[in-house]
Amino acid sequence: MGGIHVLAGFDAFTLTWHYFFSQLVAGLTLGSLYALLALGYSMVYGILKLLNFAHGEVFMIGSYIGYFVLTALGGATSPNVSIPILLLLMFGAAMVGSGLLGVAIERFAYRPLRHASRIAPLISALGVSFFLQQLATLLFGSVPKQYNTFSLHNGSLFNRITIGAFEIQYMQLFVIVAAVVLMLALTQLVARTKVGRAMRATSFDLEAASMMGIDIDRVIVFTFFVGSALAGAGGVMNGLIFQNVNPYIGFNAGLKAFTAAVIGGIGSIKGAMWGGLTIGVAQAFATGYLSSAYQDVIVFAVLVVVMLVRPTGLFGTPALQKV
Amino acid sequence: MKKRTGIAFAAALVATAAAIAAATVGGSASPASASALAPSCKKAKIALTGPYTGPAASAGIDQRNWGRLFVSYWNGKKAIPGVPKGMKRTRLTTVEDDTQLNPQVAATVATKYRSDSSLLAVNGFSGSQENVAGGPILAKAGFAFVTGSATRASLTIAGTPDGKGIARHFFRVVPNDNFQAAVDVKFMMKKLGVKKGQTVMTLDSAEAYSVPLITLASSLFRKAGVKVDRQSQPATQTDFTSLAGKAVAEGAKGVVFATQVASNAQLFSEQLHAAGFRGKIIGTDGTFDSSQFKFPGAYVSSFSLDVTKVKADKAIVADFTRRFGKTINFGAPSWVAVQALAMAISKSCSDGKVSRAEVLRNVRKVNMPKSLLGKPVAFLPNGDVKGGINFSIFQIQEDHSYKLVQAG
Amino acid sequence: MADPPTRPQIGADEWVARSAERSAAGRARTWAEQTPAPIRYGALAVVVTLIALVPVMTSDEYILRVGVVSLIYALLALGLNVSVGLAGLLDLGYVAFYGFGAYGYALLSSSKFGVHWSLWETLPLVLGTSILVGFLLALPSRRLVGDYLAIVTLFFGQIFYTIAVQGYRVPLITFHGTHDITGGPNGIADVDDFRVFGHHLTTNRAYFWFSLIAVVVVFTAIHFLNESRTGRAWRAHRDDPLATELMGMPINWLKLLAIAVGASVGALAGTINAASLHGAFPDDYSTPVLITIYAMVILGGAGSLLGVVLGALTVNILLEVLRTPDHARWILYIAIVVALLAKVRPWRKLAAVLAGTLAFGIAVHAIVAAAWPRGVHGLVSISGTDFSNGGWFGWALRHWLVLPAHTYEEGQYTWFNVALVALIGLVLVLTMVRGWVRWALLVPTLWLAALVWETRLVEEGTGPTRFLLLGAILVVLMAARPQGFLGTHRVEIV
Repeated sequence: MGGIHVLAGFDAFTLTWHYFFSQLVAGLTLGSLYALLALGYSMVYGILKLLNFAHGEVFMIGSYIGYFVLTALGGATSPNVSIPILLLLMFGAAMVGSGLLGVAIERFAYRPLRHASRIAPLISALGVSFFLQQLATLLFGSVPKQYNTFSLHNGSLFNRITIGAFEIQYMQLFVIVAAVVLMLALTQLVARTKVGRAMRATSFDLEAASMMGIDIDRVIVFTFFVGSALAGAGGVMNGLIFQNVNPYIGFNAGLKAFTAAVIGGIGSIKGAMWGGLTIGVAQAFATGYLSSAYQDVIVFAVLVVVMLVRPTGLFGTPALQKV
Repeated sequence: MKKRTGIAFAAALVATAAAIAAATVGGSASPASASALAPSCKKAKIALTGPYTGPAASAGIDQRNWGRLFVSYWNGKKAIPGVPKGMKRTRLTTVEDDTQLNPQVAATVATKYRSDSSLLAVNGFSGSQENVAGGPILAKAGFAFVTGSATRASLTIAGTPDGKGIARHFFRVVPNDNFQAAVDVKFMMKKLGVKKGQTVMTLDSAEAYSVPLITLASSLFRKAGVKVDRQSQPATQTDFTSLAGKAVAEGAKGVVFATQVASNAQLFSEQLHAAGFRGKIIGTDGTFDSSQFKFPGAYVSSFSLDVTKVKADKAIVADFTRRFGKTINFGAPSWVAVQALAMAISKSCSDGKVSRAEVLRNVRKVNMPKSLLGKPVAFLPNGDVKGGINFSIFQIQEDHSYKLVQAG
Repeated sequence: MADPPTRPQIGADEWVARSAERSAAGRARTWAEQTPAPIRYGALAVVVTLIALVPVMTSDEYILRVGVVSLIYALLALGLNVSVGLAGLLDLGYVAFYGFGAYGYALLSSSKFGVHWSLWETLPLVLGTSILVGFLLALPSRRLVGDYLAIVTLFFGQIFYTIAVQGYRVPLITFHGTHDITGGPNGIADVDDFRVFGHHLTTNRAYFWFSLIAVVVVFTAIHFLNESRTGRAWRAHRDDPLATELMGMPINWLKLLAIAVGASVGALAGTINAASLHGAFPDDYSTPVLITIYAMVILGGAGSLLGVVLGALTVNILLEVLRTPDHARWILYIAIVVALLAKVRPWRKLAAVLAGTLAFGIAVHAIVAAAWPRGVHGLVSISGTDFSNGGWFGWALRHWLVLPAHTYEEGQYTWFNVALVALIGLVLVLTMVRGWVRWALLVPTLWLAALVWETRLVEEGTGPTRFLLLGAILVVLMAARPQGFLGTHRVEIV
């Protein structure tokens, strides 16, 4: 049946556990990336009620920083230092660099608009996004840069661990674990430290928090730094596992991450994590079981279903509206 | 404070309007340009177009840079393959436009060219759909337009809606999709051992270049009794893990991937390998770039040779790298396209007078015994390049170079 | 007037403290509102007549084409303004209606299926269906608010694009293989011209007038709608959705209506685009177009009908003018001079800054010329391949800036990239300092801006530079005037 075959390739091979796990792992890897980005969106929104559309570009710049560090240390085929040190340096540089960029964007593009209408910072964010995309094109060129991680250690980083029907590549495992570690660290930061308490208070009620003596500006700067640092880490992971960096990857990643944040309940850290994983897994399953051509449509269907069942997202708190 | 800003805003608007008015009334407002209103043999004006922004920017900027390099070689009287030594070269000046791979922008740009009476010919448009939207406008204005990348087959078939409006004005120095699909399918079945009843995955990148190519390849495979898993993933989705897993699970013996982003071909090949795929991979000519697509054992089909490897082009490529950085090979046909225009203009100017119609006539008669692409170039009456059926297959070696395994 | 407080002040009622700012912010608008109605409408009529005379005054196809595209964008801005500006709904999928109108018309009036209906037959059908699609989109809005609605509408727009691109192999229509409905990424070609009253609209001039009439009709219709009870209800919803609901207004119906009106206007714009382009192509209806329309609406001032039309015309014309490096060059220098004129008071300071910039440039030029002669022998870039002396203005530039010979012609961009980054840094620092330091820093910043412009950005003019400038303009304009040109300053209840 030619018609149905296009949409649903339900052949025998798709109905195995092995296939299921392979798609699940692919989805979790992708979802971890989205989750890291979504965290930045959620945190900023929680405090400022602002959708930071320039967040995707911070991710892109983080990816470029990782690339330049990699090249400076000899490139993937013959790195000058051992792999753990290489990864540490790439992540460190990208996180710091992206964090600083995020802070700069907040200082110059959003702070003047803190009391303007809701749409003004949105447009400002779009302006920053355009600006950074074209700046990257001018400075780095439009030809994609390749991390060549498959050459690292002769490709052994992509060997698979097999446990029965379950298979996962080392690199995929690394990405998932690293993302989980970062997210756990963030949760602990928000729950246990003084700064974290300040962040929570500010996101609950900005005015009351300032009245309690919390320096709002410092908290906001810190939030942007942490969120952007996570995006930078995501950028390096993107390079490690998906190789290619060009000035336009930020836009699409940002879009998906924004969706993830909303599905999970924007403003909620737990929600951002689960939202990201949901989107990643949905996308992988859509491609693997249904159709790669309509993967976006299917993810959208999932999104709509979630939103209609829980209008404020999976873990979002119903917005209390003050009269 | 706000009042002044409002005034500044308004003043800027007025100034913009004034600039436009000045620009449109008497040619360019800047005394820095040579605003000739009539075509001239002293400084012949041609247009270079391409997507300079957007996801296809790397391809478009490469095309632009090759065009720029050609013009500087031509004006600087340096040796160019295919240009006879004694040929009198009319000095060229260019106008560049970013079409963003968007047909509406292409149509606007085409209208702009139509109004510019000193413009003689156009290098464009890069995207097939741009030619459908903007091509008829160029054709009505009497232009010859030569492209280095629009490969949709129907553009040179006068009976189709696409080809109707641009017949006899549109030329391309690269062959169209139909030929490449046939060569790739035949190679996979005859030389790579894919048999009837086996499965092949075909993947396109959901845009105008790859979709017709893969559609045709898929139907050719099906006709030969091979099972086809037809996939389509936009170039902005950079994760192929799911597809790689599927290819392995369904036991595909081969993968045919059409995209204009060579680095995606590299990524897909690597992810296939990591997922356990050990079949054959063929990338179409959009992936032909030895600096980005370098997966050993994969195959690439291409019309031209790798300009970075052709001995005769060594100096030119070195010059390109010095000026613009590494080339991705996508833009090299644009050099040849601009060369066709330049040679036609020189021929027209042999009597001191030139017009769009005369240039068009001479483009039809262009004959280059050799070219940067390593092949002779001349046009068929329908605008296709002669010898277009000759697609070659290369295999990527361990040292990342491309080795010719089947000459076209 | 003091800058508004950036942090909440204890003891001060923020609403009261900002009342002065609110009344001043809408000065352009209040001035417009204070002139008597007949004069206002008369002025508008004069402007419309002037625009209508443009095709008579010139036969330059390029100007007419830019005019047609600008008017189409004006229509789109008006339609988007209904959802975003009047009703306060963030509709990020608007471009889908635009595309729906275009494809709808293309399917009914092209050689694709051999159906060739005239405009009077297709237009009602297309508009009607797009309103139905708008209802479909508005259904989630019953349960979703604000940003949640935004994300659903955003994906709706993405879905339209995916379906348009993949629509060349649609299964399940008949159970026999796949069907080519939308033509895939290549779209639908050979779309008919409009057939109105037996006339074929074939020229750009005809489409110009048609679009102008469409803009006027839609403008008037929305204006009357805005002045009616529905408009007041929309504005109430925009300002405070909760209060509106508690007042007993039919919120869901209002949202539905706003989106439906926007949808029909977008579809109208789509049909005009498809007809004037003689084709419907998916890339014309993708996310970058949506962003452009939003930029136009915001810059013009969401909520103001005249504002968004002005915004649309300005942004589109600006983008077109920036296409040619020559024109773009003038725009930059005029913009700098105008900005200085507006911001630098008194005139003595302005003269000092200008003189200082000239002197700085000449001094640097002299120093470099003495140390490295090749550094100043370069030519002015006219286009990517043309470098010339550039007449008197070029002479001035060559002696004021440091244009190295051959270096930038030969693509050695590193130093100029460094200069670009340094320029961005300087501009950011400028916003942070005050007093005489600011004026002192302004001088090298201006000079550096001109240098980077001439050596790097003009060359890239038609591509990256345009969007770089657009992005920068958006950021600066939002910081300086968030309500856009003619927009109302929104009152946010804390």
